[in-house]
Amino acid sequence: MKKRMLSLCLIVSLVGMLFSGCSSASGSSDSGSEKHLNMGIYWLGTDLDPANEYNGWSLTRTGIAETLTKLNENIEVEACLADKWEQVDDLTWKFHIREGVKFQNGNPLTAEAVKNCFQRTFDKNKRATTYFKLDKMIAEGQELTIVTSEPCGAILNNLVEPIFSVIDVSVDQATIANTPVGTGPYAVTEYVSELSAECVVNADYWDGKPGLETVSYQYIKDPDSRVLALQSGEIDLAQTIPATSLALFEDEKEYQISEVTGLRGSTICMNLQRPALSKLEVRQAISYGIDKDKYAELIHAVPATGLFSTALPFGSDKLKSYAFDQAKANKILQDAGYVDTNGDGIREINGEKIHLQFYLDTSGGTGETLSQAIQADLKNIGIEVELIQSENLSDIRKAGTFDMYYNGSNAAPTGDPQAYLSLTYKTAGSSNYSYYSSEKMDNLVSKLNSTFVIEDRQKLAQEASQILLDDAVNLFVSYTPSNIVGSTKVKNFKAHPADYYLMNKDITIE
Amino acid sequence: MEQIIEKYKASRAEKRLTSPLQIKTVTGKRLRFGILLSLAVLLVIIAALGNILAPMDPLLTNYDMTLKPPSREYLCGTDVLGRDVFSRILCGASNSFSLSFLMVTIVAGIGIVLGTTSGYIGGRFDTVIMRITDIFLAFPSMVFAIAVAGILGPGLVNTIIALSLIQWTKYARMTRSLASSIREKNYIEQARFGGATEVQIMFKYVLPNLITPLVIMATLDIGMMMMSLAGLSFLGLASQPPTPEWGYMINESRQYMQTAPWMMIYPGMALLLVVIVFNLLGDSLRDILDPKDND
Repeated sequence: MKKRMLSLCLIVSLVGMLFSGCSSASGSSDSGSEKHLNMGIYWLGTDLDPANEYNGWSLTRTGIAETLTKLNENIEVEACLADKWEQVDDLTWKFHIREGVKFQNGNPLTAEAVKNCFQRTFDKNKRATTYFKLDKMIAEGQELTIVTSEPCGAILNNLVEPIFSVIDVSVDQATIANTPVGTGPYAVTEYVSELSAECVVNADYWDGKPGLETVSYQYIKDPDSRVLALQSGEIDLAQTIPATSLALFEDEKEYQISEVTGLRGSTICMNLQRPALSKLEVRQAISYGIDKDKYAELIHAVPATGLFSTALPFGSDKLKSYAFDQAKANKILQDAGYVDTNGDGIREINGEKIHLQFYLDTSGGTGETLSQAIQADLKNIGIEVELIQSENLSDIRKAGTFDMYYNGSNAAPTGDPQAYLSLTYKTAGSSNYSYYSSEKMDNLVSKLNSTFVIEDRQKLAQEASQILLDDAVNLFVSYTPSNIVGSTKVKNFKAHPADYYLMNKDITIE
Repeated sequence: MEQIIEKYKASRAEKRLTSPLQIKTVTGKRLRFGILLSLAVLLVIIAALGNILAPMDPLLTNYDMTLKPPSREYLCGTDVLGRDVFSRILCGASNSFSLSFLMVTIVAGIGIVLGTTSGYIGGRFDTVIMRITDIFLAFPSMVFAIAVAGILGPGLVNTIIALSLIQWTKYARMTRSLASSIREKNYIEQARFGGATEVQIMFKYVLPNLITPLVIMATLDIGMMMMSLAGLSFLGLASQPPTPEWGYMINESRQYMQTAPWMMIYPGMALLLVVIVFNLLGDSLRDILDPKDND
C-alpha cells in the first residue's frame, strides 16, 4: 500500500513538472517589447536561402524579402520591387526597379543587385528554369533586362514565385543561409533550422512604417498543435488552422478568422496505365460516382468544378463537369461490359473485378476523410477500392504502382496555368504521374508558351481544364480554403489565396 | 544446527497461527481471480460476437449524420463520415482480440521452443541463440517494430511480423533461464537413468515445469500486444482505413479532439478497459500460481 501511495505521488509530481514546463515555456515567449507578435507557421525549411528548395516561401511569408512583381487578392499581377515593365519582343522583358528601395542593411536596391541575386538562384536551384528559361540579364542603373531563351508568356506571373525573392548577395555568402538580407518590412535576426525565426522591424521600409517591432515565428507542423498553441495564447496568429477546428475560434470577442478560397485543391490522381483505369468509361463512371458536394461539406471546402481553383481568374464554374449521378455511373459501366457476375457486389470484366489501390499519406485529415468517403461511394457502383496509407508516397508515385492517390495540389501557384500544366499533364512531363498523353493538351501547352495576352492565356487555361474533364483524367474534388486565425489583439491580417503571403507591413498588435 | 531447526519450526508455527488470515487472503485472491477471469471471458465473448452485436454496419457512411454526439440511436456518437462509433468499437474488438491472441501465441511459441532447447541443450547452441536475443533486446521494442513495419509497408500481416520479430526474445530468455536450472534437477537425472529420450525429457519434465510462469507472462502480454497494435495503427502502419480498429480510430479522431471528443474517448476507454482487465488478470494469476506467495 505504501508503495502504491509512493508511486501515485511520483506520478502526480511528474505530471506537475510536465505542466510547469509547458507554462514556463509559453511565459518566456510573451516577454519582450510591446509590439511583439508570436506567430505559428506551418512550414519552415532547412534554411532561408531562396536558392535552396522551396525555402524562399518562408522569406515571403515572414515578410523578410519581396519579389519584383506580386499577386493581389484577385490573383492579378501588381508592381512590387519593379514598378514598371515592358515587353520588348518575344524573348526580352525590361523591368524598372523601384527607386529609393534599400536592403535591410542599407545597401541600395539596384538592377545589378537583382541580377546578381537571380543569377545565383538560377545557378543553384534547378526549379527556377521551370518558370522561365534564362538566356541573359543586363543591368543598367535601375533598368533590368531579362532575355529568355524560349518565349515565356508567364514571366510576370512567374516572377512572384518566392524562389525569385530578392536578397542582397553582396554580403558574406555564409550568412545567406540563416540571416539573408531582403527588402521586406521585417529583417531576420536569428533563424533556427526547421524550428523558429526571430525578426525585427525594418524602419526604412520603402512602403511605409511596419506595424510591429518584433516578430517570433514558431514552426508548428501538426495542425492540432497549432490549434492548441493558439488557444493557450502561446501564439497570437496562426496560418492554416484545420477547417474542422475553426468552430473553436468562433467566439468573436477572443478570435478573428480570415478565410478565402485558396489556390490549393484536393485532387485524386488516377494512373492511366493501370488496366482498369486505362478505360475512359471506368474513369467517367468514377467521376459520376463521387458526391463532391457532400465531400466538400465534410472537409469544409468548396466543391471543385475543374483543375483550377475559382480563386483564380481562369478558374471557371462554367465547365462541363460531372454531377453526382450513380445511376448514370452504373449505366456507363454496364454498357461497357462491366457486370457483377458472382454477386459479390463488385463488377467484373473478363473475370477480373474492378479493384483499385488508393494510396494516401499518413498525415490524416482531409485525405483520410475523402478517401474513405470515395471508397464507400464507389462500392455502390460496384468498384472496390483498397486504401493504403504510405509514408513514402513520392516513391510510389514515381514507381507508378498505384491506381489512385490523394494529392493536395496547387495548380497555379503563381496565378498562371502554364508551369503546372506542362509538368503534370503534358506527355512525359516530369510530374505526369497519371501517364496522361493527349495531342490536344500538348498543343495547348506549347501554344501557351507564345501567348502573351493575359485574356488569351486564361481562355487557354479553361480549355485545358475542359480537356482534362472530358478525358476524366483526375478527380478534381474540392478547393481548399486558405485561412489565418488570430486573437483579437492582432489587427489588419487578411488571408490571401496564395499562401506564401502572410506577414505584411499592415499587421499590428494592440 | 539443532537451534536453527528449532527456530525454523517456531517460525513455521507462528505462520500457522496467522493462518485464518492467510486463508482469507487466499480466498480473496481466488475471488479476485474469478471476477477478473469472468470479466475477461465476457470481453472475449463480446469481441467474438462483435460483428453480430453491432447495431449498425461499421463501414456504412451516412453524410447526413456526421459528427453527431452520443444519443439513443448512436450510443457513442458518429464520426466524420457518419459511421456509428459504437458499432465500430464492437467490430474493432474482434480485430484487436484475435490479433493480440494470435501474436501472443506466435511470440510465445517461438520464444518457448528456442528458449527451452537452448536452455536444455546448452553449449554453443545456447550461446548463439542468446546472443541473437541480446541483439534484438538492444533495440527499443516499439522503435524496432515501427522500423520493421515501415520497411515492410503497412498492413496487418506485416505488423504481426514486425511485433513478433521483437517480442519473442523475452519468452526465449525466460524459458532458457528456467530450463537451464531445471536441467540440473535430480528428477531429470532420474528420468534419464530411467531411459527417457532427450525429447521426452524436454516435453514431459522440462516444459510442464516452465508452464506456470509462461502462462502468467502470456496473460500479461495480451494487454501489451493490444497497446502495441493500437500504437502501430495509430501511426498508420497497421490497420488500413476504413477497418474499424481502436488505435486507428483514435488516430482518426485526433483532429476532432475538441469538436467531437466522443470519437476519441470511447475507443480509448475500450482499449483502457481491456488492457486493465488483462493486466489485472495476469497479476492475480501470478498471485495464485506463484508458489512463493502461496507457501
